[in-house]
Amino acid sequence: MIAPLVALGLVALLALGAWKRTGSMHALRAAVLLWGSGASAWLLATNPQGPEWGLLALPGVLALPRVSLRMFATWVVGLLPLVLLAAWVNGCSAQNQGWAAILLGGTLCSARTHSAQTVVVSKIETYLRLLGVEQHHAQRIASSSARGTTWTLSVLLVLLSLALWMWSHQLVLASVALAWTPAAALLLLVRGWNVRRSETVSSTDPTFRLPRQASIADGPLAFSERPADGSEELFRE
Amino acid sequence: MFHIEKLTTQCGIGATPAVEDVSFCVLPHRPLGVLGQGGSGKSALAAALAGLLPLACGNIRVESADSEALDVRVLPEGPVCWPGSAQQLWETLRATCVAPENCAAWRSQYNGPMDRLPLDDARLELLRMLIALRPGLLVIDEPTLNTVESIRAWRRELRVAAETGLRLVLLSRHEIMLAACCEDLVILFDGRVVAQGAFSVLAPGALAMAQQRYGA
Repeated sequence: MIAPLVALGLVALLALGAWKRTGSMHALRAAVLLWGSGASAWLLATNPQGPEWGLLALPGVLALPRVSLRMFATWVVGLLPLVLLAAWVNGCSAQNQGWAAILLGGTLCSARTHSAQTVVVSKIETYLRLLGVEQHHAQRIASSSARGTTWTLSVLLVLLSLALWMWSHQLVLASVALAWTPAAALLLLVRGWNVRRSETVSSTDPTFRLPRQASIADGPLAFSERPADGSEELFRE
Repeated sequence: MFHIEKLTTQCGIGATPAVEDVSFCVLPHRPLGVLGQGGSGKSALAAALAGLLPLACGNIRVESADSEALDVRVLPEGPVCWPGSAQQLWETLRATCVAPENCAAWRSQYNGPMDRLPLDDARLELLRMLIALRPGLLVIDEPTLNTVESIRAWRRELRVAAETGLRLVLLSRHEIMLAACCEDLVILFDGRVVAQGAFSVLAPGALAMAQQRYGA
């Protein structure tokens, strides 16, 4: 029981060393994440009746709000099914598997939404400051406006975890119904976001095209030598 | 007159500042276009003018005794990042105005929904709000790259604003868009000014193209 934990600790120490040397917070977060998730997976797999061991993942969860989306996705897609598979192989009861799923999925998603909230708050704050709103006002407005969205998202994700738990109890129809609610809501949210993005990103005017990559090594401007056919090169090539 | 003198930001990519030694002046009634491709320092210039990007050196000077002359507002690029209602946004912006008594009545001209900003032309509505605030300098980062109709609408708003004496700076990577709205032109490349002058001198072709597409 001790050996894997020691091995994990060593890897985490290596990551800590990298952090000390490079000063990169990513290395520190990776160390904490590795320790929390690794210990959680191993203990859950070797203690079939003790889903509360999943609590050991909390250090990793605490590190998550500052990790990248790619890292988070790797964690969820790669490790979470492994944890559940290990629990199932070791004869962990369906109930405990469900609780483990709720514990891990719910807290991870909450952590991730917290991370998303940080990004949203920062984006709104910068936007307002550019518009001329003072810093403290911008901070207050941004944090209060982002809270509602991320709380909604958190609730939806916890519902999804609950659906997982019901699935593990063979409550197939109920779990499918429950899972569809947040899934549909998420789809709507994503769609709304995409619509907002496309509002300014897409150009429906076929006459527009972006200027080519510039090269001004042989003279900066082409305006005075613009061809009569109306071509729109920004700079001379 | 609004003078920007030898503006150099502290940060950028590596050791190169995002904006380096940039000088120009903005006159009332003569909207200025800043042209440059992606990464040339347009948005960094906007952030520097708004005071959000620390300067290594340089100076922003206004030839006016009015306190509101130093009020710089930037309409950022991208979709409107405001989850509240149009009325709330207007109240928030108005509360930050140095001389609220000088604000024009934006609300009386607005017929859209008050519970949220209309999705299609939220930025245009935000532009109208900013114009109504009468700032000392209004910087617009990438006005629009949408339909011909939307460009015409933007041009109408900007021309009316310029006629009232508002100092305007438009940042874009598309010279035809700038030619449709601006009298003067500054060209940025790698954070530096490579040319500046009247649009009719620097880019007569773009001017002709703008007139052909969007009318005189």
